[in-house]
Amino acid sequence: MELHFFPGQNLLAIKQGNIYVSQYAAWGGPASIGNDPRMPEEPTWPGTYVIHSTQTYITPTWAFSKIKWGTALQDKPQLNDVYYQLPNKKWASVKNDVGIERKKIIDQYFTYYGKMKVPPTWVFNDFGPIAIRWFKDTNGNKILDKKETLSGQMFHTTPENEAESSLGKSVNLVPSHGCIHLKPRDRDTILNSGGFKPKTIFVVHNYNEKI
Amino acid sequence: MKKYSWIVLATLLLSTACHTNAIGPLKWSEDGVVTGADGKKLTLDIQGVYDNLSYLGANYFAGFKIDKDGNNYPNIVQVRGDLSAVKYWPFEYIPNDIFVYQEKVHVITTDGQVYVLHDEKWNLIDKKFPRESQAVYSDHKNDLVVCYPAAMEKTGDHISGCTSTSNNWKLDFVWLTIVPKVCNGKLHIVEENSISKLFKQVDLATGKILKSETVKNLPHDICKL
Repeated sequence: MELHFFPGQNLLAIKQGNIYVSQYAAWGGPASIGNDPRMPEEPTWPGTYVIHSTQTYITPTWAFSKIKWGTALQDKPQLNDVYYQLPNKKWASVKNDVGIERKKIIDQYFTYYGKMKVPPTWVFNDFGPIAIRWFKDTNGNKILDKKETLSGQMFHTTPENEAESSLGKSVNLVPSHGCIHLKPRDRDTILNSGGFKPKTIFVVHNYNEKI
Repeated sequence: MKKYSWIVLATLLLSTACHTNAIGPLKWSEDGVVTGADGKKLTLDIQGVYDNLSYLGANYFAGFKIDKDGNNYPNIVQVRGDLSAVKYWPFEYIPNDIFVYQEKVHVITTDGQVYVLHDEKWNLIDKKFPRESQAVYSDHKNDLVVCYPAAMEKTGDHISGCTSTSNNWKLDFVWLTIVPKVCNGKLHIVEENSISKLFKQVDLATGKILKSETVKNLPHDICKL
């Protein structure tokens, strides 16, 4: 099984042998560098890669992504704060550690789910519950060696698409900063079919290539 | 002499009475407890209080009524300085900032709509700002500077900056969490790019950059820059 992404068509295909057996909507980055000053958008770089792992992703680059998807929350309205559970089971302040106010959390949840409340778990990580990582396998052994690094680009869903999916609404994909956005159900389908199994070959085609 | 003493005493009593009923800012805390100048406390029906304004003898607080299921209902509460009267106004969207403009109390909601308080009612006015805007400067008359942040979420809009309503200038720059602030009559902003932070001092009247320098250590108060 191989994964093939056609960024010009917003399409991810699964290939078995010489046949594309299934196709999914998938949005990558723009064809050329963008102008987002927070982090310029970049193309999903064409090439042949190897799937490495699936993980819950965190990064200090984006405020909402400093906390893992699914982290338990406690509402603390009397302190105008929200607490999140640390790996050691202790609780810490979202306001102090992440710089996001309770009001913003309520507003964001309202935007996604239409309810003005603090959710029981963190559903705001920009990379969704699971990110699928890949790397450029320079020596062809399908193992991430010391001289190889994981790509900063990855497959993931977005919080708004997760909300749309869980509410039974139609899922509208949006362009990425270079990662590949998938619909939550498609991610699960590919995951369950073994498409994101480590060592799977993954090809990003050129923007002008068509399936 | 006796008559004069009586006038002095009466003046003192009146002064004390006025002080007791001080129509000024109240002390408040996030749990919705406000404290008058005389130490009298009042617990409001809102929690998560995040904004307040004191103007013409009234205090305004923004927070949420919360039901037993954890649903939050945005409200602005007006409290008289002597805690004698309390009034609640529910809002559909979250009030982001309460401020004075053209000598009237206004509020910007998180979706950028602006309301004015008139005859004890909040009326939507024909002025809209970008989402999550807040007033960083007002002379209480026509001069108003409103700033709006870039979205914190990755897929959100990165349009951000500040604008002056009376002087017709607009400054585009990226800020996320470092709220622009007026310091000694100048607007202090910190441009938050992906790799650096840039401090800029801006002329309030013209919107022109007066000073610009890279920030290595960001102070807690950007007025110190």
